[in-house]
Amino acid sequence: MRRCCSSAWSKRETGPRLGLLLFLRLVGLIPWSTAWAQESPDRDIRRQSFVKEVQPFLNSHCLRCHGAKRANAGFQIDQLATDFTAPNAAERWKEVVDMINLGEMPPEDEPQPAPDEFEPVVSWINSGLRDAERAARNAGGRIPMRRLNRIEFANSVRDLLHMDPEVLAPLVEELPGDGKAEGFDRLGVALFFDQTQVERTLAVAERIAERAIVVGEPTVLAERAEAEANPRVKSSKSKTRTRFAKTLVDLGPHGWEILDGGVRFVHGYGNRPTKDAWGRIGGADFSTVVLQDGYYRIRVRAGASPGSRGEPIRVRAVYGANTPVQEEVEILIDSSLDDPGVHEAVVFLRSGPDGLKRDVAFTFNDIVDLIVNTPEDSRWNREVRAAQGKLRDASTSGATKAEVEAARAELDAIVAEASKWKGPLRHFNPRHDSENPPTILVDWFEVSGPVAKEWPPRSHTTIFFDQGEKAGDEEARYQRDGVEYERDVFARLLRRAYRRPVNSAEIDGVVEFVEQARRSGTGFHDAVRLGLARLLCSPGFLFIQEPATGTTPRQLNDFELASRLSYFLWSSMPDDTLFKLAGTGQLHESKTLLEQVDRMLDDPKAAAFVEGFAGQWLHVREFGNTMPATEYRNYDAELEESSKRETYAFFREVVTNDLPVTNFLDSDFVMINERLARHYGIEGVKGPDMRRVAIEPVHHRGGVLGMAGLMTLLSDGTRTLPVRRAAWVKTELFGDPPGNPPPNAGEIQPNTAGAKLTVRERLDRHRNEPTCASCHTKLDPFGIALENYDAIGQWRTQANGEGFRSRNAPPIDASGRFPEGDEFASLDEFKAGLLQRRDQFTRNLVEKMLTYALTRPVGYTDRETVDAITESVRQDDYRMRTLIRAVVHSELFQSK
Amino acid sequence: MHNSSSAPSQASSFSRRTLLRGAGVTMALPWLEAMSVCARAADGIAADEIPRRAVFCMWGLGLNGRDFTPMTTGPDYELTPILRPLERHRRDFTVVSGLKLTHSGGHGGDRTFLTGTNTHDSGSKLRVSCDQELADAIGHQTRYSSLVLGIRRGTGFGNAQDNTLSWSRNGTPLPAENRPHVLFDKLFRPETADTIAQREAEFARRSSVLDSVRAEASALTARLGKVDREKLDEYFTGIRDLEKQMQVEKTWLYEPKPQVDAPEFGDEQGLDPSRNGLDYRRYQRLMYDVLTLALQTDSTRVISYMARMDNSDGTGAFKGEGNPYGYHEMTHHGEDPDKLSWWTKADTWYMEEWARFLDRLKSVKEGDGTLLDHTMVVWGSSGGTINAHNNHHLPALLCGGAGIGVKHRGHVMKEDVYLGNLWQTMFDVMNVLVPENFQGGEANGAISEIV
Repeated sequence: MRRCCSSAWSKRETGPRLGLLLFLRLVGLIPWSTAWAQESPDRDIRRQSFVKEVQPFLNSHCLRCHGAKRANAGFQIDQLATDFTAPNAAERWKEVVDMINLGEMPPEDEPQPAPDEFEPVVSWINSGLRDAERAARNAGGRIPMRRLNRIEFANSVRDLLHMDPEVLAPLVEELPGDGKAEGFDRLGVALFFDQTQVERTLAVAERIAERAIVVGEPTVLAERAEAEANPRVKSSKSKTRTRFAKTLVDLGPHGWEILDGGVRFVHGYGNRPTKDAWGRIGGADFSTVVLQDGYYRIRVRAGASPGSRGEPIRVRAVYGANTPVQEEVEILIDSSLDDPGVHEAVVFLRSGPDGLKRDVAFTFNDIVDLIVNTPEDSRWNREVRAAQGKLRDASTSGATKAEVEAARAELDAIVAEASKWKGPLRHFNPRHDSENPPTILVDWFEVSGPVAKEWPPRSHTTIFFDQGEKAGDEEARYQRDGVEYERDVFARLLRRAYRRPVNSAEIDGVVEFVEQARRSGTGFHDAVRLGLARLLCSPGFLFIQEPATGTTPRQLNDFELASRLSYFLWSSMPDDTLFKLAGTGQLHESKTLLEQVDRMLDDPKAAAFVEGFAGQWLHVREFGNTMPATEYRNYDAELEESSKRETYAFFREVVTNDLPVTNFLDSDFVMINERLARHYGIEGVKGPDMRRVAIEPVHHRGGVLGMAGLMTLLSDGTRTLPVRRAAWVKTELFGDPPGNPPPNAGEIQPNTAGAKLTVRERLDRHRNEPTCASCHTKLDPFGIALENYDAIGQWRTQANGEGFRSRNAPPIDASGRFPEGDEFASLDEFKAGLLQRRDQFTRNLVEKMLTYALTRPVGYTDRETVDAITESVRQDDYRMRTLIRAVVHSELFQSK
Repeated sequence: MHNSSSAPSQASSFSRRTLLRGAGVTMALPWLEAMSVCARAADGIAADEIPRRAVFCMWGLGLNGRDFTPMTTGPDYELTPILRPLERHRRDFTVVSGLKLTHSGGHGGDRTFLTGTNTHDSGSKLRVSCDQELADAIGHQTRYSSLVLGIRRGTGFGNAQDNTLSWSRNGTPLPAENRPHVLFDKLFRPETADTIAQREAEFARRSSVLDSVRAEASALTARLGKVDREKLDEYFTGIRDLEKQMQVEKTWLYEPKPQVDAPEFGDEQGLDPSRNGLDYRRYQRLMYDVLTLALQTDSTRVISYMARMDNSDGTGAFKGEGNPYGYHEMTHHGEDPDKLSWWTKADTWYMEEWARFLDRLKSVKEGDGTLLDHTMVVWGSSGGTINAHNNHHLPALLCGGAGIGVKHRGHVMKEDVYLGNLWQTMFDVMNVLVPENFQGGEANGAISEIV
């Protein structure tokens, strides 16, 4: 027997509050040690629930064996502190709830409680456990010092040195992944520092220093491939091809022709991976050129004619197709066939792992079916294949020898007939204008690089400021000014790297370190590189420091505030404006501060906030982790990619336009591109860019619950997972997570023994066990309501997946009931129900945002702040920016 | 066009196909010569000096238990279709049925497999894995205290599935390697005067950086409160641990690596599971071959290996040999006979390769026995035989180790016993004290039948 559990949905907000007097009286009445740790309304509710529901249960079902007299298994339940933060209390209560959930206690030979008696007890223990855990992590409300996470490290280096993020990204990937707490990767409790972290940081810092500072001139490599040297193109001289029974057949027109000035294509060669793919015109291995990550110049010498179609001709270059480093770029060919020119694009390429074949494939936008097989060819092909099939069937199905012979004879006859046909195999498709088709003349392709966008790169000039005309001049200056120049270099860097004024001892520490390297024979540039690497590994850069030894919270100074703000909204160090405002001591002034919040949210760097907060709150970073089974044919990489972008775009839309946060529950618009529009059955959306599209109820979308990426994540690839969806809705949207399932909880089993049950039916069976029902009836409806979205988030009205075929599949039933009793018949009614609960949703969002901003768990001590922010958001039409501003404006955000 | 002095040195002249001859190397091991490095010492080897070794392999998502779990127990149990490839080894392994892994179930068992309690929940307190505890105890005896391997490389931390089974003492995931040829290079590529000089320069450089930042951190300590100071202590400890590690590496730098003949690796693209076109069988065999070499040359005595992942399996489930289903898809068979039959077929094929691995280990002579006799190799899973998504009735094979105290018993049934107890049994055989809070409490004794 097994019981799962969930906490009460609505108890938090309602219920009478007992006065302190009554409470004290109650304490006197009960044997449990009832030293409540902190005062809060929840405590009142908990106290009341304990007295009314939990204590009677324990008295009648536990106390006889686990009381003072017998204390079976050494376990005396009336000695358990009702304050879960008391020593060992949480662990002991955890044992109690596990025993109840597993059905081990009370033992079978004892009187059993009624099923509905369990739920309040289990809920009470679970919510106590959760609160205790939060309190333990809450560190008394102080924000502990923490290190930068991986993203913040990368962004800070980018802004400190003005380094190209493309160059940085692969370097920073070498850092270990960051731990998460409360769902976010920026909480101090989960950001550890150990040997691996030190070693990786050091290695990455050295590589950054090597790229940031340059010596001499850039090395540029280049390789050119002549169009006619392509073996696929050369082989086109043949005019015939062997067909059935070795007959030579006239091949018909070629898609290209080799001329003196190159190769002229009207149609690409080879098979096309997809129906609408462009025509292949060349490709070559550039492994000897792309030796390191960097910008490369891809050049094509070509001329073109749009033909009667009129569409300009473009060449697409795909680098490293089907590898992790794939990149592609399109190049417009706007010179004519008579006067070819050199056309180019500069693109960032990654060299990838050793041994990777770094090839580039070139295609152009030809007419896909300009040259097709002739009807005769198709016909003979079909007939011969049919005869071959007959013969194969006969010889494998145990037919008589005579039957097999007959089939063979039939095949021979058809092949003989087919052999009389001499072609042509292909012809120009009569549907197109073969006189004047889109045409391209290609002379050669070339890749060269790495291309320096500027030389020396900006990181170099940032470090060596005013260093002269060209890279290397700084060494002359060092020869002249000596260690004073080094001092200047590092003084400027340190102030920004440590995000505060620095004292001369700190500067001396670094300069002395660099000089020591110089004395032991290291060259000037390498010594400065070493100093830079050291700076990037120093606690001043790696940790967000807010020194404080006192026991009471103190107000942050303006530099600390600038950092907190910039890591909150940009995941990076403050910019010059913030530093300036901190330097003049104005930043903490309310008006200035709120102006800065708006400025920062409008800055492109706020993308880090969208990806950091929404990426984790809405689990976008995990989209794509579920791999849909092959039967979901509509799932592809483009859909997966688009579904991530959809969620980010939606969140950004709400932030940018200061929309009500209730849009996350339901909205009258979606942010989609053509691929998603096809998935959602919305017409009139063209192209890959995300844009705002108004929707009607008939589209069944809107809010985060209509997003394909999320619905796919909350499935297991073969079917939907309503319990996980339900737990997600309650946890992430309403901050009311269900209790942990008992240790041995199973999953819904796959359909077995030939029974074809829908997921809902199987879940119903589980729920029919009375003790499971007490919790699952409250939890499951939140996932069942979403059953119209299948395992890849497509709208469905009949069961699919798991072998269900549409015609006879049972219809989807998404009806259910909220724990408060209000019923819903459909997803629309369910969402209306969620909107009625928008205050609870908003409160949860405030808690999440505050957690993200404060980088520590939010607990009871923060309750007043959470209440106040929620109220101000509610009064201002639930607006997003009001929420963000209120978080920044809170005392918690501004104090250590 | 100019040539600059800072052009990175990219190409390496190291070719694995040639017999390697490093300076001052004392022994050469032709590929799979039938003796281990220990057996070649001048006067043979005393029984108590034979190294004891442990290899932990995890195969995600269980297997088709109906065609795996034997109906009978004892030494002469009846072989099942999936076990049949192992017939020739039946006296060299024990099937342990019925084990449980409390925090597994679903697709998250990868993280709990060797740790007992680590889970993917964001609140989970992450702890050390038992292979690393073993490495802490005996790893100083070999060049590599342990090898961390998997079908995907890196840690995968932050994804729904991990790429590694191994966790450091501080609860940090350790990155796995997944390419046999790269692993071979790491183990056997000889150091040259140049690479030694480079490494020495790197040690010196890094030591000086660490000294300098430590001084800065010390100055900070006094200005911090208690909680912040604990955070900074992590930083100090990290630095100290890294310095110790560099000391160890420095010592080994001057010990020549063993010389072995390289297996024929062939096209390397097909050997990288992170890229398209994985040639799975060839890949798997080469991994086993390099593993054998690592043990044979006593380069390490502890290995963890995530051979198949817990959801998207990573191996392709023999797609190249006609299987239309992914591994996970087969576990959701819904009684579809086609899926079930492919499932058994795929499991049998995996097991054929495993049998070949045991052949390899057996073919290496060591003391009075073979390499297999002195190596415990576990085939395990975090998913069950009744349902691959269960956390109980996990399939497990303990192979080898007969020469160091494992007594093979054919098929034993240990229902409701922790998987951690199997690890505990192995610690006993390794003569390593079971650490405190072993498996976070998810182990409570050895499996006495097999020792």
